[in-house]
Order: sequence, then C-alpha cells, then structure tokens
Amino acid sequence: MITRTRITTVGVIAAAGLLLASCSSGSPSGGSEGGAAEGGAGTEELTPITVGLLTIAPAAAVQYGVDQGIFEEHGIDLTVETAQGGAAMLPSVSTGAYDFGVGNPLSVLTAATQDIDMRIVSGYSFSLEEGDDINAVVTRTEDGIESWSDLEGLTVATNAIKTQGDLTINEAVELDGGDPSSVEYVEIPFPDALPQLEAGNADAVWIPEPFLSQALADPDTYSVLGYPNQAALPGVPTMVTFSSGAVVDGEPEKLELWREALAATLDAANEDREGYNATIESFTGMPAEVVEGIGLERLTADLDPQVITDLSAMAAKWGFIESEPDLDVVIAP
Amino acid sequence: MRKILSPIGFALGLPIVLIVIWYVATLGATNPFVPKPVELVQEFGAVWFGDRFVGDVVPSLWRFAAGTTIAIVLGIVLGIAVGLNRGLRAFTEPVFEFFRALPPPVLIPILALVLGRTDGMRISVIVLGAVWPVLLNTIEGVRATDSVQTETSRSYGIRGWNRVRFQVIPSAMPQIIAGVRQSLPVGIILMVISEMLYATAGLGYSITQFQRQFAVPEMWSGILMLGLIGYAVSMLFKLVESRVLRWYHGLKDLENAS
Repeated sequence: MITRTRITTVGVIAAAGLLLASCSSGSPSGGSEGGAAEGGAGTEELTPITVGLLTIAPAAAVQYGVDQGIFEEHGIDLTVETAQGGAAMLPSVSTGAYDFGVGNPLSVLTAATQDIDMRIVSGYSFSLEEGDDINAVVTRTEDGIESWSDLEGLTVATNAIKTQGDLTINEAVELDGGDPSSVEYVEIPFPDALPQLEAGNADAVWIPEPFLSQALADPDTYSVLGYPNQAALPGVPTMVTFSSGAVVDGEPEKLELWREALAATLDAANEDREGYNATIESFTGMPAEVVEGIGLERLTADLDPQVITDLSAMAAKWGFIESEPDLDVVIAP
Repeated sequence: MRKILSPIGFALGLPIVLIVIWYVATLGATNPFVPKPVELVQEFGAVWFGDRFVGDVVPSLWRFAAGTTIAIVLGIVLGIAVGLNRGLRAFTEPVFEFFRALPPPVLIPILALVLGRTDGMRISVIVLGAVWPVLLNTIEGVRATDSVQTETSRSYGIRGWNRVRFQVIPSAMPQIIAGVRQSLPVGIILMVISEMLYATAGLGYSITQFQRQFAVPEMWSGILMLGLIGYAVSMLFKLVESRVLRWYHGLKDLENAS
C-alpha cells in the first residue's frame, strides 16, 4: 500500500512539473509568435540566411545587427551559428550548411589553393593603419627586446602556425634586416599566451584584444615590441566575409542582400559604440569593464582587392600557400 | 592450407567490405572534405615515409611508449601497495576518484607552466590519463586474491616479497592485464592531444596543421596512421598477454572443456 501511495504521489508531482514546464515555455514562444505576426507581410518575404561566427569581439557586430533588426529590415532572416575556429567553419560554408562565414582572409586563400571553392565577398574588420593596433607582439620587459630583428633565434608564440601572425612577423623581421627562418614559432592559445610568456615557454607572444589590453596594463612585466600588421601589411583585414562558389554564382540576390545588410550593420555598430559594447558583452561573455577598455578593429564591409592581392603574394612568398589562387575568382566581384 | 587461410580471411573480411563500401560511396563525391580510399593510400606513403617519419612519427611513438610504460609500472606498483593494505586503501581511494575524474587535456596549460614545452610535459599528460585503468584494476585484482591461497601461503610461511611475487601478482595478473588493455588506447589518444598544444612536431601537431591548411587527404592519412599504430599496439599487447597469461588461458580452456 505504502509503495502504491508513493508512486501516485510521484506521478502527481511529475505531472504538475510537466504542466508547469509547458506553461512556462509556452508563454514566451507565444509572445514571439505574436511579434512575428505583427510583421505580417514582411515575414513571408524574408530570405533565410545562415552565417558562421567565431565568439570573438568583432564578430559580435553581426549579432548587433540581428538585435537591432537591421538584417530583418533588409529582408534577411539571419541565423547565427558559432564555430570553434576558422578552420572548422570553412567546411560548413563549403558544403552549404552556412551561406556565409566571417573569418580571416588567409584561411580562405589557403582553402582556395586546395581547390575548395571559396570566395571572399566583403570586408569585415581591419587592422588599424596607424596608432595602437588591435594585435601586437608582446615581450618580457626585462629582456629588452627592442626591434623585430632581435627576434632572431628566439621562440615566438602565435595561436596557430602558418596563419596571419607568423606571416606578418616573418615579413616584419625581414624588413628590419633580420633572418625570419631562425625564429621558432610555437602554438599557444591566446588566453594562455601571457602566462606562458612569463613562464619562459616563449620569448614573445602574438596576441589580439582583450589580451593585449591586459599586457598593456602591466608595463613593468610586458612591453609591446610592435604591431606586425602595421610593419608588414598596414590595414590588412583581420576578418572578411566569405561564401562558396555555389552562392556567389548561383544566388546573386542572396549575396546582394547580405552585402547591403552587412554594410548597414557595420556602419550602425561603428556609430553606436555603447550598444555594440553591450552586444560584445553578451556575445563573448567578456566582463563589461574589459569590453570598455579594449581597442576595436575598424569595421567596414568595403574591401580594397589590392590588400588581398598583397596578402596572397606574401603568403606565397613565405610558403604558406603552395601557389597563389586565382584572385579574380576568389575575390567575388 | 585451409587452416591458415580461413583466419586470415576472417581478419581481413570486414575491413575489405568496409573499404569497398567506402570506395563505391565516394566514387562520385566532389566535396573536397570527403576522403577517398585510393587518394588516401597514395598520400599515406608520400606523407609519412620520408622526413616526417623521423621528425613526427618517431617522437610521438617514443612519448607514447615512455608514457604508457611509466603509467603501467606506476599503476601496478601503487596498485599492489594499496590493494594489500586496507588502511592505505581507505586513505587513498577518495583522492584517486577525484584525480581520475580530471581530464588530462585540461591540465596541459598548467603542466606547461610547471614543466615547460618539453617531452616531460607530454609524457606526464599520458601518464596522468593512462595510469588509472591499471591502478584501479590492480587494486581490485589484489583485493580479490583467493583467501584459501592466502591462508595456504601464510601456513607455509611465505610472506613479504615472496608472497607478492609468487602469490599476489600471479593471481591479480588477469585483472592487471585487463587494466593495461584499457590504458593503451587512452595513451594513444593523449599522445595526440598533448601534441596539439604548445607543439612544433609530432603526429597530433601534423594532423592539426594539415587540417588548418585544408590538406584534407594528408589529414586523413594522419588519422589512418593513428589507426594503424593503434592496431599494431593491440597486436603487440595480445602477444604479450598470451605469454604472461598462458597459464590462465590454459586453466580457462580446461574449465570450459570439463
């Protein structure tokens, strides 16, 4: 008897729980349905587009556009997917799971040389041509490393080998009269870079924001050797948006919509630094005080093809890509 | 002739069937991320039998061998000590359960701070993961020693090292070997993971590099290499096991026959 009562009680509680759960999940979704219905006619015309983003500060601008309804205004129903790394996102764009990706241009060029039909369709975020750039090579202050050529024979950490970090550092060392082939590169993830630098596992580390701000805040321990982008390729894009040949050649309307909406979004994010910061906070999970202090890339959808041409030539020069891809195809007109 | 051919046929049958299915399924594939068997085999030779064999494969194998050997020896020694001593067991068990649950990959940044970017760091990662199956199985094996055997040893005055050597180890051996069997693949997995961070050479490093360069067939050839190493290790293990546990298999056969 006792067991039976107990089972009944459990059943009642479980049923009540289910009821509550269905109620609580029901109301907000009902609300949003109402909201969509208000849009009325617009809802049917929205073109569904999926974009892949990394959870880093500049990528938050796309989320900002979604939150502000800019993509919807431009007739896009945007789905944001977050990926773990650029290399992981590219296959998804290649197979059409994502229509567009936001990632670094060098990966796109590398993929293109491997016969993967990738196209750069717009600019996104750019390194700053002068002043304090958004990534830098940082050394231990006590070591007194002062110039790029001092890196000869030392160990430099970047987040990934054969990407923009070691490419621009190679160029910077050479331009300074040093021998880049004597620099040893080692992969250390950005969040670990400064502790590993202090522990002596690298003599210099290449880091972007927000880690750069962290280093700048402690000049007794860390000093900035320089900005390799400014030394090698001033104003190089840190990220572009890219797509597959199937979208660029087969769905030009979609491409056009994306370009217009992105341009409007990036302009809006530039205008509204406060609102953009709030999106960075929620999108990356960085604390507010960190977000306020960090330097931000220049955001624009405009892309000068020359800078991609230069980047491609440099990547081929240092053997990062075996041959240069056909840039007339890769840079979508 | 038939006696030799049929086991070989059984061993190769499933792989051949799978490869044929794979070959047919990818005949028309244009997706560059899909590996194809013929391409893969061609790349395999070109990629791994050259500089990379000495530069990447040998260092990886060395770390794996060192890491798993230390893990096995440490696991058996500690396991016997803990298994024989009830007080020590009560004292250490909660701690073992705690450390066992820690995934060694998350310890890599910390180990790198302490040990630097060295082979020692990578071997420690392997040991930290591979020691648990051996250790816990050894403890259980030693605990489960037949009490009649123990009483017999005692009444014949066999004690100390002799008892461990001639009674405890042999009777725990089937479970120790089971632990070793589990620890080997863990060792291979951790060998790869430990080379994915802070590395400049090794199998794990090469595979991530290939992946980033979108060198897809090369990347899959690295994965094939890992699979072959895993296969070779398990064959080697079987050989050792059949030697060490010959008496045990003989005993089982007898029991089954009767």
